[in-house]
Amino acid sequence: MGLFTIIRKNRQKEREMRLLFLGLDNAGKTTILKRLNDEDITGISPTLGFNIKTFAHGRYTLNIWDIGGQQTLRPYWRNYFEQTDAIIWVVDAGDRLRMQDCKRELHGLLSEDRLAGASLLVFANKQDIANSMTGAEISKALDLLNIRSHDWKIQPCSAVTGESILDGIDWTVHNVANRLYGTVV
Amino acid sequence: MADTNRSLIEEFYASFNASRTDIASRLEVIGTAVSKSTEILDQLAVDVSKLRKELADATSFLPSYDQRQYELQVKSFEHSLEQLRVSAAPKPKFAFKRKAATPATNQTVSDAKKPGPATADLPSTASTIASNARALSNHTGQYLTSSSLPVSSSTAGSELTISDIDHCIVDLVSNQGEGSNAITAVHVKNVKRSVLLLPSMSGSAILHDVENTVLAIGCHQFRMHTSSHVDVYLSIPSNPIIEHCTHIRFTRYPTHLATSDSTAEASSTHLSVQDFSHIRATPSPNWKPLPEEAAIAEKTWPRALLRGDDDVESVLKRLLPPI
Ligand SMILES: Nc1nc2c(ncn2[C@@H]2O[C@H](COP(=O)(O)OP(=O)(O)OP(=O)(O)O)[C@@H](O)[C@H]2O)c(=O)[nH]1
Ligand SMILES: [Mg+2]
Repeated sequence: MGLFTIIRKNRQKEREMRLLFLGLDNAGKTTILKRLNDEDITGISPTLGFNIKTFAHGRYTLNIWDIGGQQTLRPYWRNYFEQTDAIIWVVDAGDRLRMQDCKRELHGLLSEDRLAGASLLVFANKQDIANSMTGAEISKALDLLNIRSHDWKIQPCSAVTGESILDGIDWTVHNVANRLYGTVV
Repeated sequence: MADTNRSLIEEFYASFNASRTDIASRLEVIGTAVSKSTEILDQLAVDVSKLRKELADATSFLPSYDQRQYELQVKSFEHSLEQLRVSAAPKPKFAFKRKAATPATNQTVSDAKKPGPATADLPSTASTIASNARALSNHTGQYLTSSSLPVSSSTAGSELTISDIDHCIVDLVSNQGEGSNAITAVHVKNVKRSVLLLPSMSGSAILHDVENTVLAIGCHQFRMHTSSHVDVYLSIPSNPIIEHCTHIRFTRYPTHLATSDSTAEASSTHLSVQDFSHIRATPSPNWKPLPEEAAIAEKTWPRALLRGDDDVESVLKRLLPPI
């Protein structure tokens, strides 16, 4: 039995996935997480440390890490890369002023060795706001179409209404499950 | 490598535990005290934020389970402190509750969780819907009101971008448009020597490069970056954030302008500012409360902006914070 098979076996037993929520500050990461967990979203302050939530999703246990995105916190992001199965990149679809920053930070992540192989889901959040940028516009602004290093998908959504959040998580779990266990959920 | 980490982990454990015991017992003492000295509370706040900073620095070597436990501990200290502060303050009752963010919030979560059909791949399907940006940009020496804004065609609230404004008075509170023009969130960049009077909104405000400006706004979250000499009149149910800022002063949003929810203003946490560039053991030197006597008198907003036949320049001279 090769080493690879052993690793696979172990993971199979655990059936855990580690999802890392990243993105600029104000994107809506914490709000999405609280929404997933049916918690109140009115009192959320910008994240100074990080939040962790564990969810059951089908046969899998998801460990979701939500890290603060303020500029002074971004140097700490690297501390959370190890063992990441998927990056969930959250974008404030109304933040036209910072799309360039957003693109730069995202592509910086994609070149990290420790994130190689991780699936990438981009949430184009805040679609409930009438004039938010669409998924297509954000794909273009973030240059997603040129990403070859990672499996990716963009999912327009709203953390406030809850719309399409689960669709995005579903895609992510399927994609990771396929890669790790060679199975569909 | 593993060994170095182990000793780092142990060292951290020992020092964290020492601080934890210390802080916990001090919290207990002050918790039972009849009158709570703000000095002691301040010192506790300093020590808790120091612990928070040490934890952030240690995340590179701490195992994730440990990190989580430490994080929970720090959070619980922060929570206790907040409660103590509230009970110490001779203020109106403290509450984070605020009116439902948007009508959309009422949509049930179970609805949202319905396992709908996988959304079609977007790049092809959504490209036909052009999104319309709403912006107020490139103005100098002007008096701008809601009528200067492009009208939003939608009935849902919209996002507003304000950028490259110099020597202007922007008053989006007087003569507010119909509901169809409601603003949900603002993104602000590069505003100098101006007064921005913005309404209460359900979403967040994010600002960059604001200088020598007076800003009034009600919002769900507030983040200000790379700015200086700004007086902020704020109503907010969460902690306002500053980062890379200097000479910022905070005070409450003029009460009578708050159209929506008066209890939100009463319980506003506009002084619970967190300076992300100063997560350490001393109070941030980058902001302070705006002294009552330096504040624009509540009742004169928004008339204070244009009084009689003042021109924009003389109003600005009168209202802008000192440099
Ligand atoms: N209208 C609308 N507002 C949203 C949505 N998602 C988040 N927000 C608002 O956006 C602001 C930022 O949300 P957070 O969840 O704190 O953002 P974050 O990405 O965790 O930010 P950091 O912790 O600073 O990195 C809050 O005021 C939220 O209420 C959404 O889908 N629609
Ligand atoms: Mg957050």
